[in-house]
Amino acid sequence: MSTSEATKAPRRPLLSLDTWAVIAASGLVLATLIGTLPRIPW
Amino acid sequence: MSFATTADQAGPALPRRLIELVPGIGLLFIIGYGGKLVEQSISTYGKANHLALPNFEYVLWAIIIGLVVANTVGVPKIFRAGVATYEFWLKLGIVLLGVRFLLGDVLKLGGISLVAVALELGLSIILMTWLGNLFRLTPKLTSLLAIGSSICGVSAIIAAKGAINAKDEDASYAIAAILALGAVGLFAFPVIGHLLGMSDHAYGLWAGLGIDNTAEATAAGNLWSEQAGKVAVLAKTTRNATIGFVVLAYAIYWATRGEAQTIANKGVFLWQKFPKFILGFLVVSLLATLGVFAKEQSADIANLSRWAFLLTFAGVGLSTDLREMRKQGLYPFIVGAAGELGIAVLTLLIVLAVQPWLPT
Repeated sequence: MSTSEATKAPRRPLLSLDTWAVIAASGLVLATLIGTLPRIPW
Repeated sequence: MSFATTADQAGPALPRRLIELVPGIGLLFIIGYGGKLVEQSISTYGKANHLALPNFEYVLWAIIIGLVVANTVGVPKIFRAGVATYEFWLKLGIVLLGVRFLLGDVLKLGGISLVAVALELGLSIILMTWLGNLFRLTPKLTSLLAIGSSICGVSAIIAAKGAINAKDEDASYAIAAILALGAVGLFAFPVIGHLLGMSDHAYGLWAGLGIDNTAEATAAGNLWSEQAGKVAVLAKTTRNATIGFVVLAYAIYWATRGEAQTIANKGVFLWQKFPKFILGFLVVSLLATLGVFAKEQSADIANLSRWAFLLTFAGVGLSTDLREMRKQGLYPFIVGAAGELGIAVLTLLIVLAVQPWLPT
């Protein structure tokens, strides 16, 4: 995030970045548990 | 944040906003994966030619490539929204990293971290306030620098800016100083750690305590080793968890002087400021502790966490604009630099003091 972006007047988010991250992680964990996600090697 | 849905943008605009993120996320992937390829190529070359080349993690290459791109050709507008998602990938990576921790380890290491964090918080606030007064910075800029250096950099400064009614300009100064010094720490910490012969745990704790921005602390830990990266994330998230308390204390201080609004419900304020992704991390760690995941599933989730971090580290490099930092004033930078140096030394002493209680 650039300095100017960080100090702009805040908008009213319906979902925060943290919530997005937790939702996405929950989806990935669930998909891994039920086996719908293809194995992704590192 | 660039891709968070907002009240006036929900509905048909959302798919378009998500599509706008694709080029930047693609760039994060290309640079991050490029870093991985450089690491692998050096390792393969060394093995093929029987050379003992130093192993620099892909993290270093991803950040350097990103830094070079951002500070030479620059990041074209079409990529910027996607590049700004690197904080999302950081948080996603941390939540998924919970699979690599048993809850007992989290509580033990988190407990040690908490003691270290309490010491670090107190000492760094005192040091920054003294330096700010010495260089005659505005009191609110001093408050922002103290909050940024003691807790978690940019997020803490943004959270505090509204709570203490600080100026945009002061927040910009504080953010620029914290980011510039985080970038210096990112490269300096591993070198000092090696000179001191630190263990994975001790180094990870030091990176988590001494480097302010979560992305840079995570990168500094992973530059050393994956184990050090895990410990750095844990120490840093422990620091992040204190954000509400410290910002609340500053808000009350400025409100009593009539220079900030009074906070009516302190419990609600603390909950609003608490970084919720930490709860996600703890839940995944709890599931892992309860044996919900098979061995392969744990490995798969850990790999997803690594990929999320790969995008993050590319974003750290791409978002470090050295030219913008040069535009900021000299004094805030001197105060920040002197303070950060002092905090790096203090946190190193704290780590050495708690080292007997750290796992080997």
